[in-house]
Amino acid sequence: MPLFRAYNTPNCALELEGIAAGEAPQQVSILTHFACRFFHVPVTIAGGKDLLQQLAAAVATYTQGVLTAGWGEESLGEVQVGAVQLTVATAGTHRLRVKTEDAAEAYEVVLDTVQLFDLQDSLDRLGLDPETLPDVVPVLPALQQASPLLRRMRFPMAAVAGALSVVVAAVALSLLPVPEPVEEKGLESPPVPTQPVATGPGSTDPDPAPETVDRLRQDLFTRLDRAWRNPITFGTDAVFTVTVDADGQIVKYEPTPETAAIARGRVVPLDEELPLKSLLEPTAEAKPTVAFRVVFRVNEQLVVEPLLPQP
Amino acid sequence: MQVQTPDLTTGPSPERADDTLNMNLVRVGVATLVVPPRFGVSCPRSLCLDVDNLLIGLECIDLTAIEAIVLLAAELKLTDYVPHRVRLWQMRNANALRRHYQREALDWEGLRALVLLVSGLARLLTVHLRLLVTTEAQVRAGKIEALGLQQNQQFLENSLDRFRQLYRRRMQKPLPLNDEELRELAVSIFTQLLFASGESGTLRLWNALLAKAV
Repeated sequence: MPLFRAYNTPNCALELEGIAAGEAPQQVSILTHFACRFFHVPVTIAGGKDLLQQLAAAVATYTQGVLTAGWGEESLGEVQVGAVQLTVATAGTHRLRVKTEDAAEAYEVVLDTVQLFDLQDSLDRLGLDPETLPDVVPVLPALQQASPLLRRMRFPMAAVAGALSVVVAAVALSLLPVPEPVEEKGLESPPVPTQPVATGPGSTDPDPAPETVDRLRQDLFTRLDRAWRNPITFGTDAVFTVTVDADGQIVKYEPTPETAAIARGRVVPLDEELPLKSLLEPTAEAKPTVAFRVVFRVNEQLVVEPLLPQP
Repeated sequence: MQVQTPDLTTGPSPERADDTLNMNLVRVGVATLVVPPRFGVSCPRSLCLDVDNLLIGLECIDLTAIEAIVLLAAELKLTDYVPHRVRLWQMRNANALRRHYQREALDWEGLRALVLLVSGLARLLTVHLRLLVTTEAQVRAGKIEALGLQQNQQFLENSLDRFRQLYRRRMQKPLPLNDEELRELAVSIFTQLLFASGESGTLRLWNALLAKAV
């Protein structure tokens, strides 16, 4: 005995015809025919189980795109599952095309968002109905990894309002050294002025005084820490060799081979995401410089340590 | 085949709407909203933001939405997570843009409860959501005058205005969004709420939220 099922929504009707082959006499387990009628146009999509499953998969994937479209990133693309194709017609309308290979018939319907929702809802009602085709369940598209581009697009919102500034300031303050080294430096730096080093004859690394190195290290730390605002998008620590002149300006930076390896093939270059390129001020004149090893940790910690001169 | 005799139809009828609401929410349940392993222990900041925006979207349609949510929480046995409106307010303050942002993130259980409540309430407001999304499309296509549906446009504009007001009043200044962007945000939230009001809307909303979570 054939069994009929209908899932009606205000804009579309999904009708199924099948037979019960299992133990439950009222459970449709074999689908013989389905028809999906739209009320705004005289179009009926009809076919078998394969087409029904393709339709469900295509609509679910496309719906996911509609739901996440408000958050920028990629525009709604085209979804093609088997014979079913869904594309954007104009803003807010969607074109559904069904073209089967064996039959020469092709359907085309333009749906607005509410009609698309009704189609989705009919299919979901069918998927959730335990009395009809228990192997057809609502399709949920797989989640993909959020891309770095998406991170950058979604995070400025929080950052612009200054909501993060409190957190960043708190973290920065907690990372700053406790007061006594600062006072010590304040007392001792006048007797050891930086001029002798700055006007020193050597252009590479004339073994600067430890106090100067310490001052430059703190200076570099503060600069980088204040400018580092982007969230972490890399999986391992990024290590750079950063060279600063006697005024504390960054004149050169270079990633370590490991960091260069992870930086390859990124959408946004690592040095643009980190505050290195923006702070770089290359100079032509040869000045004495000091090199530091700077580590951008994945837990948002910043480490600056003096690099011992290579022998 | 166009004519269906009533006894053959088994689709949910309007009279049973209340029963199916509860049944489906129970079937969806807190446990079925799965967190993919790539997320950590606490839920991403963007999710706190999105859920709060969805709640504002509900509030701009129905000003008593918050009372309704507290009642719905009791009905769905989610009082462990949302016992009263103060706790709900604290949970919403996990949104980093809020004026009373406490630097606390939501935990996953709380987020699940909020998503269940949002879709449950969206289900009750589905008529309004349909009207809003349809009218917005008609306004964009410039068809309102021809259709003579100015009162619907007024309803849409009122809702959008209320959304802007609620949003401005609660978020920190300066606001990162201007009026036009707030309108776009509201419209995309109405669409999300519409899809969340569907039969498996909770799952769809959950999936969509996680898909773009950072």
